[in-house]
Amino acid sequence: MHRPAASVPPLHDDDRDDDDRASTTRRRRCRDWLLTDSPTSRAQAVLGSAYRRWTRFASNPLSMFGLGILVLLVVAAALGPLVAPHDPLQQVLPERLMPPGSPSHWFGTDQLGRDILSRLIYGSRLTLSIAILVVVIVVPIGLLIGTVAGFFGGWTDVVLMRVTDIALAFPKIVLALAFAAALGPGVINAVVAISITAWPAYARLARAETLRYVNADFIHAARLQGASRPRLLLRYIVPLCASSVVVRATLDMAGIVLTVAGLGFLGLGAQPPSPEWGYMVASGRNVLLDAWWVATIPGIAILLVSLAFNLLGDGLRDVFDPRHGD
Amino acid sequence: MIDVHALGVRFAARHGEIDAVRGVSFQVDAGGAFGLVGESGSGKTTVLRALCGLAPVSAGHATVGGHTLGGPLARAFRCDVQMVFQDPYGSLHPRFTVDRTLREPLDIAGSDRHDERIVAALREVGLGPAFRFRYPHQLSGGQRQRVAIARALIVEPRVLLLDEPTSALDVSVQAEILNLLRRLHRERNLTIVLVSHNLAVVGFLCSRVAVMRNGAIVEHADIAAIRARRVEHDYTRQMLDATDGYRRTIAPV
Amino acid sequence: MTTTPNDAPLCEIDGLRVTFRGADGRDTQAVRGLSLTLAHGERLGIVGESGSGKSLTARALLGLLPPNAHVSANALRFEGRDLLAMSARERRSLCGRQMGMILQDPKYSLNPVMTVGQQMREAFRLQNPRAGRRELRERVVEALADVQIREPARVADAYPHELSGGMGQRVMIAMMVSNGPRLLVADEPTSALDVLVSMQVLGVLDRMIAKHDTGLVFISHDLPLVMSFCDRVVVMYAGRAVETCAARDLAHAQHPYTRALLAASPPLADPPELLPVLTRDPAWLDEPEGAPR
Repeated sequence: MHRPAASVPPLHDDDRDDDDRASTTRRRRCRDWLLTDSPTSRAQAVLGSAYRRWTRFASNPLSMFGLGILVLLVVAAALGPLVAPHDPLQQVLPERLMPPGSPSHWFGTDQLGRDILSRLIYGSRLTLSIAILVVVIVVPIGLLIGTVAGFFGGWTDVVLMRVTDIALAFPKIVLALAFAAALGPGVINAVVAISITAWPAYARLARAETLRYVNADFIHAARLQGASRPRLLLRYIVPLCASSVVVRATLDMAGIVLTVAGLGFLGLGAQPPSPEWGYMVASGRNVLLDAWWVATIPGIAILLVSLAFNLLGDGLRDVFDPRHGD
Repeated sequence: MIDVHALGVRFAARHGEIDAVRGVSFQVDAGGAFGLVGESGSGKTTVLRALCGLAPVSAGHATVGGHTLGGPLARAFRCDVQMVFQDPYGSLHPRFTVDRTLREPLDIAGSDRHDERIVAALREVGLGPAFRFRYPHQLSGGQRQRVAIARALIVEPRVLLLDEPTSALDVSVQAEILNLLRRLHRERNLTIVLVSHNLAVVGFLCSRVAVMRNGAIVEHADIAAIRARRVEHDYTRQMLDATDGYRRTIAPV
Repeated sequence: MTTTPNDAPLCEIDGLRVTFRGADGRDTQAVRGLSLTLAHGERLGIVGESGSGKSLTARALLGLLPPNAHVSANALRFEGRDLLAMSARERRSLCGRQMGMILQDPKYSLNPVMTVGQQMREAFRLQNPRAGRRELRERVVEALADVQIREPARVADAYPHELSGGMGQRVMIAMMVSNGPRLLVADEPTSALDVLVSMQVLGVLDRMIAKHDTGLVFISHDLPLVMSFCDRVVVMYAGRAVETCAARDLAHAQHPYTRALLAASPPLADPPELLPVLTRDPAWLDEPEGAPR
């Protein structure tokens, strides 16, 4: 860069320019490595493919918004005890029903003087773990049943699908009521009740995807090579179903969060004084007109998290769309 | 190497059963190239699938490379007979890299020196190491067919079955693939059975041809006779005439 | 074959450019300055490999490009009228009345939930809004008989998935040509059909367009077929026309790409030891277009 001889060039500018240029070149080289047309190792191919998907996902602002909220949720859940300003279970009766915006209680307090923000943060751990627990139980079961039914066909298909139909016939909340009546209310029972009614959708989805691929030439080619049926099922078919199932699971999480909140509202889920969000909404019912924040703020949290899961699921579906070659 | 006698293949259909193949007989010597020509529904693909064990044998008798079809097949059969499919877009697993696609048959067969063999297979079909870790959606139709051919040949079969390998490709790419197949046939002394609806493609690779219609063979001929148009059956003659292109004076059949 | 053509051409395309904007914001030029003319009742073949832009050219003429495609041309005229200067409604009306299109696979180009008769009736009703049901039904059966369908009444009540490929294409021809459009675009009409059935369908197409004096744009990747069916041929490569000449002169083609394409098909009689492989000369991408003859 040409500088007039009279002025003294500022010392740091050059260094900063060089640093900037170096880091830009590093970034560009990293990007080129990921996006190359001719990867030289499996790792490079996988990372490159993941990077391409990430850029596609990141180009959708709504999906990023959903992801942002969920990241916040996960961070809050993970760091809960470190971040919460107060003990969620501690009742401070002189500070009952303080409005949001109070200096020591940002989201206000409930009828028993418990800080709502802290309860929200601790409640997020409950919400998240219940949702994840349900998905972790339900997805493998549904995937297995669906792929086996689609792959083997015949009587296996018929029997498995009728079992699925039976499970599909149970209504979630009524089943949860029945479980609560039989085994007592509680988080584990709620999870079991939801799981029993959630897996059929995944089985159906996995079966539909399997049927699409079961007569594909690459499956025939693998049979010709002598691949055993378990190998075909687990290594060829299941990875193909994975993306639609993941998208479905993400979208379902929203519904699961709402169902858990609903059960909590009915008193069937987490029991008091546990800071479960649905229970918080229920307990705020009585003071809704005077102290709207007790029921509404946890309600907004439920709404935001459901919305976030929905947006994330939509974004994932756009990314995994087979038209883009993935 | 291949001996087929009165082969029949029957499928269950919505109303009763369909005989997709009836009374088909032919022989192919080791190292020979045999063509099966016919239109869609003629049963030519079904014959091919029966020859590699993908379709059931309901009548007749067929042996390929010493293995008898219709009963349980030995492990060695899988390394003796391989097939290249028609649709380059459906014959590769969309989530497998080229490396994984080529590694699978080696894993299943339990052989060794995987990396060496994969690199050699790619080189043989004219694909450089740049292609080794690509996904199928990053390959063109011709490149996918090359990978499919490499996959078929990596287990070193003696018999190669080809189901319309170039009908989905552009003419220029078809020429490259046909050249490649011819070279591989010669170099590896493969026994080839090629199925196609295009007489000229069959004529380029094969020395003998059978014309199929509605599940049965209507004519056997040497390629020299086909080229000289010394054919007996009307149907064969019609197909030959069609290779000349459209003729305005022909009354529709 | 062709009667004495009018002096004014049916279609004029001059310097057509079709550009797509990709997801990453970069522009891809799919058609880069294509020019051709079509006379009344003439059969013009457009030949090229996949990606050469041949389908896009026809669709640009018919106004059927997706919204992210940007079309520009020095001139895009149909019967002397400027297509680019018209309003969208005028253009749709003109294209609907005067142009028809036949696509590759009747399974995808016919509506699967309507019977053949219902679809054809809709198409005919657009041309004759005042015709009654019975009259339309008669016209449908007559049109089907015209394309040599043996039981036209039965086929009219059938659904598209019940028809064979060849019959489906004949239904498409009946639907598109019976009203006597000035222009018909056939985009790979026989590529999904068997060889003998193709010949039949081409025979039907031939007769129909001769009967209605329709201009034909025949798009295909099959150079020998186009040579035998069409009057003139345009060879496209990477979005431009590299050669334009009469079909019978194609065997003595000038451009190396055309010659290489011709040589790449294996000949039945006397095939060479190795088929000549097409080496793409990068100079072909930027040459000025061959003057139409």
